[in-house]
Amino acid sequence: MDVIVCVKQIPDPETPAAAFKVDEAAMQVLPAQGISPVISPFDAQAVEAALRIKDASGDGTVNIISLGPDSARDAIKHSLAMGADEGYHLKDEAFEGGDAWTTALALSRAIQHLGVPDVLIFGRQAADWDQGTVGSIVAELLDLPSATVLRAVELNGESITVSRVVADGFENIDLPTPCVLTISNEFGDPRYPQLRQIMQAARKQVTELTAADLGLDASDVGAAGSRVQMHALFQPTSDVEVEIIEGDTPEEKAAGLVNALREAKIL
Amino acid sequence: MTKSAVKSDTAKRKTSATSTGKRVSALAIPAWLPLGGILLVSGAETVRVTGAHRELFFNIDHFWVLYMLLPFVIGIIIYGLVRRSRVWRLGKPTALLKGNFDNLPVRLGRLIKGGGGTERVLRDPYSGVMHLCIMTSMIVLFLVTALLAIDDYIPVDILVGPRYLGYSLVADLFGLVGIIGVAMAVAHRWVRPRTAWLPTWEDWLILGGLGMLLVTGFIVEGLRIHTSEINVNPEWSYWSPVGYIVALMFSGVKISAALDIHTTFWWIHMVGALSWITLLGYSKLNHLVLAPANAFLKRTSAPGKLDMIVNIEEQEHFGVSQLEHFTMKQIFELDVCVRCGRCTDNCPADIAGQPLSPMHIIQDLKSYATAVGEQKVANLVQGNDLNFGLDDETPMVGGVIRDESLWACRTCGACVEACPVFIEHVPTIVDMRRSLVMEEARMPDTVQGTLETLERQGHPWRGTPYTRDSWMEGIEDQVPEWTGEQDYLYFVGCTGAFVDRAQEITRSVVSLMREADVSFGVIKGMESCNGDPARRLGHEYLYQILAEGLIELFNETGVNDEQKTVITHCPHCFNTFLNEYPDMGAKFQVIHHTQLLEQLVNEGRLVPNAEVPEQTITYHDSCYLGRHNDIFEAPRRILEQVPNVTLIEMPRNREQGLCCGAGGGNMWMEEQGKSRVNEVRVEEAVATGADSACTACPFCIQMFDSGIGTVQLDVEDDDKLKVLDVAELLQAAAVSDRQHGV
Repeated sequence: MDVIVCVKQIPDPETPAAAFKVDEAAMQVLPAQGISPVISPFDAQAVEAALRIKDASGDGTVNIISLGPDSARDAIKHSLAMGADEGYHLKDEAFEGGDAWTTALALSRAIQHLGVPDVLIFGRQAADWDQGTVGSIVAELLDLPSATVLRAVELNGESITVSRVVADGFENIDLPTPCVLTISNEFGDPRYPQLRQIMQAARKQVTELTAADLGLDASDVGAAGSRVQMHALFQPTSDVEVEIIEGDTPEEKAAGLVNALREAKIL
Repeated sequence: MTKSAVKSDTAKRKTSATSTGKRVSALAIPAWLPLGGILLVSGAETVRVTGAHRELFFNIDHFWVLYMLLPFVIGIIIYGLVRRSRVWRLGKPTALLKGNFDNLPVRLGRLIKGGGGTERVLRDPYSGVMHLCIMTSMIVLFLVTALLAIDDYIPVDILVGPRYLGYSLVADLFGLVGIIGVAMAVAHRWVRPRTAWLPTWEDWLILGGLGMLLVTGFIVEGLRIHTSEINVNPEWSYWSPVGYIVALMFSGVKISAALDIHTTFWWIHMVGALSWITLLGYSKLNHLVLAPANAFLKRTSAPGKLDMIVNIEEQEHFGVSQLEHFTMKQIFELDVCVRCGRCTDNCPADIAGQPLSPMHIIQDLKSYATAVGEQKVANLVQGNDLNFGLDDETPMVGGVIRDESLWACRTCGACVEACPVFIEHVPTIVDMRRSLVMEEARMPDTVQGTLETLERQGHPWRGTPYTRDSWMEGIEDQVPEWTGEQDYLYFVGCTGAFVDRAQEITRSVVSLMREADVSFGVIKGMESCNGDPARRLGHEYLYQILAEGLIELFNETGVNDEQKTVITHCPHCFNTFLNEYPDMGAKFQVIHHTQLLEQLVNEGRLVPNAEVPEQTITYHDSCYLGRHNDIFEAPRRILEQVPNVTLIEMPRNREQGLCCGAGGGNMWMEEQGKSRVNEVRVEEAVATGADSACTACPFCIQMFDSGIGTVQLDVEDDDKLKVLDVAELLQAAAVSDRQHGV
């Protein structure tokens, strides 16, 4: 079974808050010193899901597409090291400054360019902006059935059985192929690449595709094609006030705490 | 103060003669005094007796059969060893085995002291004396027998008169010493079983055989005295006291019958001796030869140094997953193990009831080498593929040796330090970890998380809220930026920067250096991990990437220069820089903060004259500072110079110090087993009655803090054990006005 996984490179979500800075004037996130960007953790899980589908079906390929700057190649290489077969890098100045819509548009064109596979997999959302829309937009653009926020994926002959994480439990559905899936963190940890695979991945060529290669005009994508307008980007500040409830005995302290909570209308 | 400072500390330590080994050796000398006394007095006495001698091969016909057997015996032994050596030779040759002998004097010294002198065996008083009894008895009895043969074949008779009687006495007494040794060894297995004890048929065969030889020897002697000496020259027989007593026991037996019994026992004794000695080629008795050889072969580099995988990108495999991936020396030393269990008795994981016993690692690998190694040798001989017919074998890593055992190792080196036959367990364990991580990518989640954080963020502290420079917030102007002009680079390291408790120590060290006007600087914001955690966790490739990156930074900033010295905050950084970075092209000198502080105190640049509260302190040795790098005294001498401080020791200290539990990457792992290593160590510290525990390693500090949380859960906060870095205590005593605000 052939799978394509779309992955995004993001600033490491484990960057300590103290090192996270934004340029409010340019409305951009500043890269933290000494901390490399990483593949979005949900996307690494999407690659893991794809590899398991390939293993379970016994044949097929897992190909990776990523849209992003030069460094996005590392996210593709990471996926290749995990065991994916080929990588495609959508790299063009025209793509810069885009939003979920332009990204989905470029990705869907790339998927058509490569041929629509049996399964298309995304992470449930990129762990930087957390919008969680690209997968669904691609499904609409390609007119494919989709299931989002999945904790389990199982091959079932020609169809696929998935389990969605919903507010009050899990929802199990069967989908025909081809289809679009987005993977949630409940799916499980992605594999750690073996050193030999890391070295093989390092040697593997990643195919670069530009907007023109995909038949897209520069005005359709990137900042030019964006449907979202950003008005401000800032780091919220939060002021914390601490009140220590005094008291000679634990009972007094507890009574003081209850009174304070009542005053604050929490109780 | 540079690398030579490390050596001087070692030298001082050696002269202080505090190691257990030396104390036991000293005890062993008086133990032999009575024996020497007896021999002296007896020697004087023998002068009064003349003409004493005995007939060689008394009452024995066809003794030439023995000489016929001798070449067979030697052949059988050599066959056994050569056959086994084919399994050893499955491994990769090391530089040493290619004939490239480094540090020959050190090796020869080890061969003589550690091999012949059984230095390490003597560290345990009971088994040390036991072993000494058996060994000296065997050597003396061998020489005695050889002398008798020589005497027979040279025209001059040496063994006559007083010389003969002295000779008889020595032989008799050492026979007795041998019996005492064997009795102690048997009792050891019944009366004094150890946790790691694993007596097998081999033990009983060797001990039973030896006991049988000694007893039959005395029976033969007794019968000879009974039949030929006691009635003719009774005063001669007094010089064979044990034989004399045995003769008296046979006094009711008719001479003719006694002669028959004598012949029978003589043959039992002689054929028994030749059979027993063949065990040399087939059992752990081979340690007679292999242990001194292993003492010679043991690496002479610092014990905490791991071997580098050179040209890692061109390797066919990473680490060790098959027997033949080991070096020859690693396979060889499996056969050296005598199962004494000292490694396991000293292993922090085993002490805490966790799933690791270094002895079982070695023994299980030995069994595997026997089963699978022999098959591989046979495959080679028959021209088959090395692994022909071995597809269904339990895998060595993950099967014979369980993953959790490999992960439980702290690389603390207590096993290596304890091993009387010089086995190096730690590199063997790390080699198998390398295969788990790099070959199979199979590891606990916590290890994976640590490695990923190292890859992405250049430090192992996943989830830290801090940045590299958080520790200097508010005192930035007091922390000089490294310019390349200063004498010392203060390498804060990841823990000193990213862990709040360790940040306090970093600030203490800075405060002390400013107080003493040390010319130092810090590479702000640009430091990265030197790779130690990755290397200990088995990810040699990541280690090399991190090390290359850091050396590049050191090159760019002028640190990598023979004239520059890096002060490390952490003993793990210290060990890596000092012992492992030279392989990566490092030229700079390395010093640990306790060494620098001791030097500053000695020079009077730091004066610890401020009153600190009166307290007793127990010093906990960091493995990577102490056992791995011989720095035991510098931190203690600092503590001794702080007024109002009384230093007391835990029972396990210095070379025998117990790991805090964090080593070998276990700082970032979940422990599995009955208890936690840090709790065991905290209990030991609490048991001394000390007010505080001092150490010099940021990992140890954290492990102690968390151990105290559980061990002293019900103790009032004020009465709990305090945990301090040596630098913090010195700061309290030597930086009086805190003018630097840190």
